Order: sequence, then structure tokens, then C-alpha cells
Amino acid sequence: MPPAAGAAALGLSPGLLSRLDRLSFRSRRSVVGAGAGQRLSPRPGTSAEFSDFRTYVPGDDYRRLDWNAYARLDRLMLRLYLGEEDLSVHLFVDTSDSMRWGRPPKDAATRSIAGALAYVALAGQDRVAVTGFADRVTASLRPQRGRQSCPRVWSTLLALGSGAASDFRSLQAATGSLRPGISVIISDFLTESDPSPVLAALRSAHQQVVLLQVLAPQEIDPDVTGDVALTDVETGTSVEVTVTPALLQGYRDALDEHTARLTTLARAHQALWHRVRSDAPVDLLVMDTFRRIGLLA
Amino acid sequence: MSLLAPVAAAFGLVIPAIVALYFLRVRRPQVPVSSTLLWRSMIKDRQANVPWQRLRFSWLLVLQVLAAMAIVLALMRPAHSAPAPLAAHTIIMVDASAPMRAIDVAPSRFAEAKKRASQIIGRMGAQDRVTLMELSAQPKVLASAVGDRNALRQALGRLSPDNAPADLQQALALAASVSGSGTDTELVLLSDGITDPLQAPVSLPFRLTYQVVGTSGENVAITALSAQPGPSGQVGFVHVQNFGTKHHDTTLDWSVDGKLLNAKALSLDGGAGTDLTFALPAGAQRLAASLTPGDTLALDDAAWGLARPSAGYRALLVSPGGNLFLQQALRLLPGLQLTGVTSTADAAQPADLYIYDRFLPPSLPNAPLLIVDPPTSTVLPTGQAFSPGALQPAAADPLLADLNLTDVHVAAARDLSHANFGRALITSQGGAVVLRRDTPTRGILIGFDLHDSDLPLRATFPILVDRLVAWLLPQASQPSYAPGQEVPLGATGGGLSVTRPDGAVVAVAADAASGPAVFVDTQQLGIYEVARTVGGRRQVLSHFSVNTFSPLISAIAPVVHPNLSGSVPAAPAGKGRTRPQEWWPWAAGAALLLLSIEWAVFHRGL
Repeated sequence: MPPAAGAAALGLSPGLLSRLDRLSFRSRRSVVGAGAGQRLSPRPGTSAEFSDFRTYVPGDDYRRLDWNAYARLDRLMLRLYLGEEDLSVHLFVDTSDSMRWGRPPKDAATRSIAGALAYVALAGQDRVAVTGFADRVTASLRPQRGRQSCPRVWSTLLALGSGAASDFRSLQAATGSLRPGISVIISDFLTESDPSPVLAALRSAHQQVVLLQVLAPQEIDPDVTGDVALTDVETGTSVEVTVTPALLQGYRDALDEHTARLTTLARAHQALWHRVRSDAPVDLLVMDTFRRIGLLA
Repeated sequence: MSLLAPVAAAFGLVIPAIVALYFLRVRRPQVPVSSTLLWRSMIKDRQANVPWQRLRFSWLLVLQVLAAMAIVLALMRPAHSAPAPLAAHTIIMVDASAPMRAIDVAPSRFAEAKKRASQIIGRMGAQDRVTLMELSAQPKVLASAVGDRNALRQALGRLSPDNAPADLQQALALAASVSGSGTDTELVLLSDGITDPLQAPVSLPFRLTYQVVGTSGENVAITALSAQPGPSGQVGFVHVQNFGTKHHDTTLDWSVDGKLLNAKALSLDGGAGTDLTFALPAGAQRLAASLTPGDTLALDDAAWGLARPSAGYRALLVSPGGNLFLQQALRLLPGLQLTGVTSTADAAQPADLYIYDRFLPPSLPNAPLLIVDPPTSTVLPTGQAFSPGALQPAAADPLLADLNLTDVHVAAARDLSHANFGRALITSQGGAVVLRRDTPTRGILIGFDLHDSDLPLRATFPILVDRLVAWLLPQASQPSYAPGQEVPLGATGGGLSVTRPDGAVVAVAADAASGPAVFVDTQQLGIYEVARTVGGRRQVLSHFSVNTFSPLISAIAPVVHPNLSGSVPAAPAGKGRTRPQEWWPWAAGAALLLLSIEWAVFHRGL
């Protein structure tokens, strides 16, 4: 797929892409990358960023000896400098049936957001991996690097398969081999599946976790009335309700409670949580909202 | 308490139906949602319609059942017996005739009657119906079986008294026709009882309650005013009558053409009357008389009249052979300017009355006619001559009232049965001998030669001629009419108009086909002027006056017991009358309240 076609399919205009070139992921700590990049590494390197001193031992590069310290202390001290490494961004995209629901559909918004984040990472010489999941992992793209990888990443996002229902347990296996970096989980989180285990696993894998909840406007403010049978598009189960203003208010209260539980859970795992409407413009999200919440800089 | 519609209890089956609905599953439309996670926690308390699930307590169910019970109760029309001030259908008949203008009851009898009618309307129950009627010369139904108090009071407010006596006979017949088939009907007559006498028994299918309005019969009235020929010009004649029982002193003012001519003090004992005459000046036209000061009834304290025209009315007698009897009888009539001709060439002269004796013109004029023994003609075909024998006058015809014509002998007459002129006035064993017609112009046809009869020799002959001419020329002999009476104007054609006493001009349509014009808007008292306008030029044709010269108006003593005995059943005592008082509106209101609460509960999700 040509790069322009993939960007257009994801709703990313050339103007937006040029503005995304000025953005980068904001990591809250130095990360150990898989190769040289534009981010400071906790490991010693050759950058101009001073890190520490240590006593010289035979075999060290004497070019890094601090002769001023030797003159003052009469001891051979070696200057250490930080290395510059790349950042691994892992995008976990919910592909369950519920994501195809809504006006506009949530999966379209999800792919646009993921495509924009992948472009920001790849343009910043970071690595990007994509994992689609539902009740199982539906698609997986190994870490890619460099701006030239954008078409591949976007094609993967556009070709993400679908599963029946969301189940965060399907991500357990994928978290085992992650390089330290940023993991972004994009889902509606309207599932009984508990994300706590996968959040704990990601934290153990030195991931800075970001939870983006994508909801359709009709999920925030339902537009159903009267006697109806509500059918779950994922499970097929129905519940019969008589929708009244009181019931709608109760639904909104339940949604607020659900959101509060997710926020608490994210805070407990030092994760970043944010709700996104599926009708929100992607350029506004990326250029403003994600910068405001500290995901991008 | 009783139930007026117990069959409506069948609607109670809706109550178990409502309960059953809470057992049955409602067929709902399928609406896909992304997840039912959040909905499931909301609906656990609202799934009462799962099939055959044990019924849970629901305020909605309770309220719906209570509302259904209230509705069924309203449909069953519960009622209790309550005293009823009025019958289910009350006919209020308010007397609006001329005597009701009397002010012996402040402010007037008519106002008092309206006040009582309004009070009766105020006592109406929710289910009561009232018919409001006007008792007058032409009784009318103002509101028929109405339950709306405001509509009735508006109709009552539009009621106004007229200047004519009341026709109770016609009013009772009208009330009987509007009473309907209901058994609980009562007629309340608010009147002073001064009406036309009942001519025939009236069988009323309802009770009658008569409320007398008025207290006094004291009234002095002018009952006659006319101009008569006198030895030296015309003389005005006035009769003043005291209809009360007490002595009254009053003054009669006499005016001619708007100028006060004389004032005469009168002293009248109860029931006494007096005649007064006044010499009229030459050229007098309009006469007026009034009594001062006024009394209980002002309506009859003034009267108007007309002096006879100095030239009189023109009558043309065409008699080729001459008729001394007829000519002499006509000359005796005052105000009639008779022209007798024997030549048929002069038969076309203009006249107000044409009299043909043994003569017929080629075509009959469009004017009043008196034809005696016409020759056989296609204009007026008559039958064979015969000997009529004893005459048989039409008994009911007022033209022949009190005239003895049975012993009049006629030697020979022509059968007028096929004359196509009018109806028979005098018949015999061989056929009709005298006919009268009313349209297109009034006319009298006598089928025998007066010389072949001893009628001209009878004392009744001049009386008969006077009465016939008076009927043929009503404007010449009857210058005063009663209020509401139809007035024949004696003219046809376009451009006719009548100027009423208040100055209003009323156009009168009259064409040749419909005959002489008749004026009916004669409620006002005073002098009316008849005129014709042709080409912008107005020509006064005649005058007539309208007065209340009638004891049915001036004898205002209230009749406490009107002559209704035997014609209507006596009114039962009003006490003890009860009628079911329905309270279904309360049940319906309760149902509405319960449904409103149910709606609120439903939307608040209780």
C-alpha cells in the first residue's frame, strides 16, 4: 500500500503528518533501548551528557580519564557519559466486535489514533510494535524502526482482524518479551475481563503504560427509549429494559463508576488513563490532548 | 348509593388483564449495543415481565389497577339520591308582552320576570336541562334543552319586551312540542297572566308552575283616537279609560301636526271612561294625544291618529244602466270620493276602488274590485242563471258577522262556482252567488243583479256595503293597527318604502305577481309613512298609525289564576322531589389523578 494511501485510510492528512514530525513520545524515565537512538540510555555511552565518575581499572579507555580529578585527588578517575538509545512503543489495539459499534465506529478512531502514535514514534527513530487482541491475539507486528516502516505499520493497523470479545488475558503472553518502553492499550474497556494482571505484567516488563478508552457518543449518552431488548454485539446476550429518563441517568452513573474503577486501577499500576470519544478529531487528540496528558511532547 | 349503569362492571375484566400483563413477556425490538455490561446492573429491579415469574410488588401495578378500578366505577355511573330544586327538564316561559312593561314591580314586571328566570337558571343541577321561551304575540324558543348556565343567561339577556299582547295558546303548544319524551318536565310560567284567552283546551304533557308577576291593576289608558266627519269639518275623537279600581286625575294633551292644541283635565273613577271630541283645524294630518302625568303603564298613555284626507279615496262606479241603490249606499260612506259613470269609455279613469255594475272591462285593473252581476265574458266566466233560493252566508267570515242575510230573496243569479275568482262568501243550494278574493288584489264578485233582489231594500244593505268597502280599502277605513299586525299597503311595484316612527326607512319589496305589499314591522307605536320613490322622486302614498288600543294590554291587573284549569295538570308540591346525583366525575377525576401519579412514578423509575 502506498504511504499516502495508508495515511489517508487512517484519516491522517499530509498536513497532520508534517505537524506530527515535531512531536515525540514523552518517556518519564530513561530507557534501555535496542539500539542507538535519540533518547538517553541508562547505560554508559558516548553522548555529551555527563553521567558519573568511577575508579579507573585496567583496561578502561584512558581517553576518558579525568585528568583534573587526578591532579586534585591523585587518583585515576574515569568520566562516564550517558548513551543515546531508541524507545520501544508497543501499541495494543482492541479488535473485538464491540469496537466496530458506534457512530462513528470506535475501531476507525482506534486505528487513526494508533497510526498517528506509530508515526510519531517512527519519525523519532523509536521502535513501534503493534498487537491486535480480542479474546486472543489477532495480529502482531514485530518492532519496526524508521520512517520507512510507516506503510507497514499502517497496513497492519488497517488489516487488523477481529475477535469475539475483549479478554485482556490474551495479552499476557505478549508481555513476556517486551523491551522496556511505552505500552499503549487502546480499548473501550467495556468488558468483564480484568486488566489488572496484564497491567502488572507490563509494569514488570518496565513498561510505561498508557490506557486509552475509546467510547462512542452513544455509549456516553445512549439514544434508546421505550421497551427494547439490548443485544450485546460481542456475546449475543440480550437484556430487556424499559428505558426511562431515570434508567438513563442510572446508566450514566454506572458509566461514571466504571470509569472511576479504571482510573483507580491505572493509578495503582502507575499507568496513564484517558477517555477518548470516537467522534473526536484525531489531529485535536494528538496535537493537543495527548500533549496535555503527558503522552507526547 | 345506586349504580345507573351496572353493566359497565364488565369493563372490570381489564383489571386482571393488567395484572396478566405483568406476567407476560413484552415483545421488544432488538437494539444492538456494544456491551450490556453497564445495563445489566440497571435492569435487575425492572424485569417484572419475565414469563410466569412470580409477581413482584410494583407501585406501577398498584397505581394502574387503582386507576382501572376508578375508571370502571365512573363507567358504572354511581349515584345517590339528592333533593332536586328543578325538574330534569325545566321550560322557563318569560312573558314579554306589552303589559309586562308595567312598573308596579320595580323596575318593571318584565325585569322581575327575567330576574326570577335567572334565579331558576342558577339553581340548575349538573344534569338539569332548561328550555327558555318567550311568551309574546309570536312565541319563540330562545334556548332548547340547554345545560349551560352562561348560554341560558346570554339568551335571557337578549330577551326584550314587545308592544303586543301575548298568545298563550300558541306558546303552550310550542312548549308541548319542545318538551321531549322525558317524564320529569316542568313548565315555569313567569307572567302577569294577561294573555289572549285560550280558545281550546290545551293538554300539556308536563307540570305547570305559574309565578304571578305584578301587583297592581291601576292604569289609565287612551283606548281610541280617530278623526270623524263632523258637521263643520273633521272632529277628533278620543276615549280615555280607567282600567283600575281607584279614582285617578289626569290631563289629556291633544296635539295636531306636532302643535299642542288643547289640554283637558280628567277625573275618572275606577272602571270609568270618558269620550272627548276636538274640532280639527283645516288641513290637519297627524293627530296625537297623551296623558300626563304617566302611570304604571306608559305604553298606553299616548296615541296617534290620522285625519282623513280632504279629498278622500277615489271610487269609480261604472254602471251602464245606472244603479241607484249602489250609488246611494256608496255615497253614505265617509271619506269616499265617488265618481259614477255610465259610459264604458270612462271606465279607465284612475281610482283607488273600481266598482263594476253589470259591466266588465277588457281586462281587470290591478286594484280593489267590487263587481256586481258581470256579463258573460272570457275575462270572468260565469255559469248559467238559476234561482238560488235561500242564501247561506259563510258563518266564519268576519265580513258577514252579525249580518242577517238568510231572509234575503234573489230572483235569479249566475252560478259562480267556476268563476275562478276566489272563495265563496255566500252560497245557495244552486251554487255560489258571492265570492271574495284576497290576491292579487282584494275583490268581491256578486253574481246577481241587485235589482233582482230585495237586498237593497234591507237595512243590512248599507252596512254590508260599508263593510265590503272597508275591507276593500283598508287604508281608508282602518287608520290604526295593533303592534305586530300586518298592514296591507294597498300598492304594488318597486320603490316602495315605509318610514317608521323612529325615522328608519324600510324598503318593501312588492311585485305584481305577489300582489299588494304587506308591511309587518309594526312593533313601534306611532305614525308610519308609506312612500314610493321613482327616478329619485319621492311620493308619499299614505299613512297609518299603530296604537295599543286593546284591553289585553291596558287592563294590567295580574291574573292570579289564569284560565288553565282542565287544560293542564296541577303542579305537585316541589318538596320531596329527588333525583339521582351522579358522582362519576369524581371517580373520573380520581382515575386521572392516579394515572398522573403512575406517569410520574414511571418516569422517576420508582
